[in-house]
Amino acid sequence: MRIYETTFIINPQSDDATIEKHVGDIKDIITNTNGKIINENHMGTRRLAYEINKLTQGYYATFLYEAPTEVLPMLDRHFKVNEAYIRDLTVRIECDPEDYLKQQDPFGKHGSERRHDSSGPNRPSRETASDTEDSEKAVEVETVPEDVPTEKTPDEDTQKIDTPSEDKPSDEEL
Amino acid sequence: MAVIRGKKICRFCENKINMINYKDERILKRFTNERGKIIPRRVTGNCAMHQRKLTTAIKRGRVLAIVAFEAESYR
Repeated sequence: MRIYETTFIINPQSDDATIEKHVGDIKDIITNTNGKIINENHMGTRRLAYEINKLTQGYYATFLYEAPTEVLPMLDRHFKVNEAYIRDLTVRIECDPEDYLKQQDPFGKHGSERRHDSSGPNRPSRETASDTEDSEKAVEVETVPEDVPTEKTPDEDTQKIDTPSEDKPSDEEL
Repeated sequence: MAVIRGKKICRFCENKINMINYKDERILKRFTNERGKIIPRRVTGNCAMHQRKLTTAIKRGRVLAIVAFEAESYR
């Protein structure tokens, strides 16, 4: 038995009941082969970073489970046969699942919440996004210890200097 | 114009983050530039171990359309 994490994206155009059914199918496959689901996380409908099959949004769901290796080819086949699944990714977790969940939860929640905020039709550019992030950071420092505002500024300076020089040659090519 | 800065500290070491969540858009975006490229650790100051983990996380995130492979449009 090994611990895996499978994340998949479902076409969000179908109604809620069918989406639930597609999620349930995956669950059934895992449990029917003596697998045990440790954690289930529905991230819901999010905007995709790039178009997949002409879709701009997708319904994300994640399972963390312990299962024998035979599950993987079965899941693979299911994902391939059924067109409702846009993307899937299975990752083996080599550490303790409790630790794994603890490490990702606070940031994971923040990530999905922010996604919904900025899910407008026109995505804000990187620079305006970072401006708003800065103002939020001051408030969020305690909840998200990862961003230290004082450290952020020198990093961004070097970024802005670096990128134009990288972009220039490709512009000339065109 | 030389700018002298103190030694950069790996932000993941500082916050004792051992595993980088490949589904967390915020972290992945912070370490990629506008074109979606992974920022080198000489710029961010990450340690080698965390840069390695971050790289796999970003690449997994790209597969799941959480971060883009390439900027949608530029110039």
